[in-house]
Amino acid sequence: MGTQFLSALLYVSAAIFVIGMGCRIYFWVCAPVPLKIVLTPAPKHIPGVIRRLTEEVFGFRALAKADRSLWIPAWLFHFSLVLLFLGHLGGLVIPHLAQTALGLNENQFEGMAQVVGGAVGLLAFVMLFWLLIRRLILPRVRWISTFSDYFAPVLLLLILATGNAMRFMGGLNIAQAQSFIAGWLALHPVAPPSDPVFTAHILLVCVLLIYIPFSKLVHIGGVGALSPTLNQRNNPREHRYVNSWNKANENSPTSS
Amino acid sequence: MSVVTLAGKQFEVDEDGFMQDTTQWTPDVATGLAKSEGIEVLTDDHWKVINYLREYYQKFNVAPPIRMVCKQTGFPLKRIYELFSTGPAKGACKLAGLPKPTGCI
Amino acid sequence: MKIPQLHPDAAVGTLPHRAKNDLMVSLGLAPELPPDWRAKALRRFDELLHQRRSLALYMDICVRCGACADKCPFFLGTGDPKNMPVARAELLRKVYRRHFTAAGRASGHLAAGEELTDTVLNEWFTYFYQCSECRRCAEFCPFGVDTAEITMAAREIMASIGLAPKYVTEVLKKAHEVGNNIGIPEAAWIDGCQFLEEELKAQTGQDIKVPVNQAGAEVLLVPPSADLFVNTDTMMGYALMFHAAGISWTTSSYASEAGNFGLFLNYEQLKKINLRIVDAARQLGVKRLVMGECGHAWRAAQAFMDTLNGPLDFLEPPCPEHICELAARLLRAGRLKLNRSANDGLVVTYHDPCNLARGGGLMEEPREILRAVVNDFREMPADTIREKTFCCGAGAGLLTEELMATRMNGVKPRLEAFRTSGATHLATPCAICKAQFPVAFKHYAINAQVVGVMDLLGKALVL
Repeated sequence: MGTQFLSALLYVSAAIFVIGMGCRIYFWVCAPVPLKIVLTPAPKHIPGVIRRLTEEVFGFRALAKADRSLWIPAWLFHFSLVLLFLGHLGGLVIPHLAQTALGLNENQFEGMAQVVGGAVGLLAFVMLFWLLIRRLILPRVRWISTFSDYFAPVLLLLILATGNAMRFMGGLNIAQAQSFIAGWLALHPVAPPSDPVFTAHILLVCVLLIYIPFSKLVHIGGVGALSPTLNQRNNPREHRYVNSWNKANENSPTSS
Repeated sequence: MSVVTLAGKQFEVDEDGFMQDTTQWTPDVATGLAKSEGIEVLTDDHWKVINYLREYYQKFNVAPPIRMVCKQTGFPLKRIYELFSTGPAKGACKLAGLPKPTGCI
Repeated sequence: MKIPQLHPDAAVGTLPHRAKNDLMVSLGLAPELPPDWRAKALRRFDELLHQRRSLALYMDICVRCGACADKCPFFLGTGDPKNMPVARAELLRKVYRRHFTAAGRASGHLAAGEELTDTVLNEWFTYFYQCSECRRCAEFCPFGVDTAEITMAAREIMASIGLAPKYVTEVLKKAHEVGNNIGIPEAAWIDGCQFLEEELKAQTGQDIKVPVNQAGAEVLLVPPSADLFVNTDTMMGYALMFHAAGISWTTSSYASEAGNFGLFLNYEQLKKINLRIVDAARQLGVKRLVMGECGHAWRAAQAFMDTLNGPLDFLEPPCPEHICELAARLLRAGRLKLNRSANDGLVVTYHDPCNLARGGGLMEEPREILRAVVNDFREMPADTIREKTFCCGAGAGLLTEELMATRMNGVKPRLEAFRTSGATHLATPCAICKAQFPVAFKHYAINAQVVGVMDLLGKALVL
């Protein structure tokens, strides 16, 4: 596949992802919240709300209460996705900076990437695979599943599989991958590694980037923190809460 | 809404079998509706409750508080449930031709 | 409770009676479905998406993980998969995806979108009236998706095109015309309160007032009207407490109802019903507004009243209080003398009404009162109380005959927890719960009684 095509596709996908997610988040943030609908018991002050949201976004607290057998694989899967994202960032985008920051020599850095990256890649794959199996074997979860609920995990499994294949079967020229990404980011595309698995990996990521803003995968990045049931303070009696689309409070007799 | 025929006359009743026009009530209506509440024969005790409900309704345009029904008829609540198995606010009101009391009850 | 096997369409036949034209018109709603009801419904849907972030976010963000599925009492009770909160929400989401998302408009079924058809509308009228807006599912959702918000939006859309239940609209009409949900006119309200004064005199030998329309009283107490009609021990409990504490109080014949059925239909009604209470408080010149033993009243008043009908700065404090908050405060201050042996022989447990626990965070005060007034107080299992409480099965407009199947299924998880407590008395400060449980106890042959918290306090008071 040509340099131009792969780079161009990646630009288009990234643009769709950024603009698409931006629009979704902009719409949610701008949508008014007319009433206090926080789920109680809830904190009365902002530090408490921050703690609650941190626990929910980073610890999946509600899920932990709901179902441990779902919480464990779900949390491990998302946790390893974050690590993989950081690993790609450190190993491929800013390798020199990351290596210096960690105080490792090149061999140690490579070795760490091999061990940690490999383990986390496998963990993510196994956990997501288990989540997909769970969706298939629990009748109530299978009943509610739509096309998107199978498409998204299968797509991610393929991305993880191609990534793991490159990690464990060797063959990928890391230096070439690094220069491809550096060129892409600098808007001066260079040739990608000639490895077909790498090409497949990138193509699948493009599909994912395009798919995210238009599917249930919009839940990435902690946007659940926008949920009024979680992020409101429980203080409707201490501070009058004003509905932004009815500030004047029409039909109220306060003026009479 | 449907129509039932009792004692040769036709009455409109709502989905739960309560009379729509309470002014059309006659004792025959109570006798006629008794079967639908699983009551074979209306005894004096039944009539005591029905008559009180009607008397109160005519004065206040609403069914009386349950406690008042017990007090005025002299029947404990248990006895009223023996007379009308669905209770004073349902079966008894239906036979007395009152509209069905609704709300959080 | 054990997760049931899926029984598709098990609950499909249970739906509310439709309100007739005159009822709809009296509430300013369309009398029947207009020919262009689809377009109208979608327009209202679109408006709501722009007015409520909750709805907009919850339409997009659910991943269908199923964590909520086995948390809903109506799914646990019926086994109907459409009663799983996620599936209930999907009834609205599939229409959202078809009409309001790029993916749905482009690919329809592939994006799990569906046209708004007669069949879908019928599903809405069925399953959004098998949800009691209890919010237990939201408690366990990783994104805080609140099915009550979705149910309320769906009901609001349906009402806007002329589809609403007889029970809810009839009650709202009575609340507007007469002042309370049961339809007790002023003369009967006064007569009922006098009757309770006589009862209290006979019981205690003292002149204990149950005042009506007393201008200048310190407290306006707004009870559910069921407290005068059937839960008279609760009403007498209020009177005994105010008497013992020496607080002047009154009820209002204009706002003789705490329960806000607007919550079950649309924001406009929610606001109007609340407004009656605020107007009555202003007219009577009271200092404080106290809400009686009513679940939905508490959410409507505590969380929404200042926003919808405020500012309430003519009150001191400038917000509604709950009767249990007041009673607990009086107990702590030593202003109530108790003889708890008056409640000996009772084994009491406490049922948290959903709207007190998850809608207002009021969970400690009722327990504090009960521990003070009974000797044998027991909790139900921890995963069924406080913010994890199970609905009684009749909230949010389900407390009507034709939905009896839904009610008797929805109450199952609560009853299972109640059985394990070994209690003889279930205490709860909510009129809907108090109406539902006796029917459920009879249905499932449980030998137990339902009481209010104030009933037990009233009995234990030393005057």
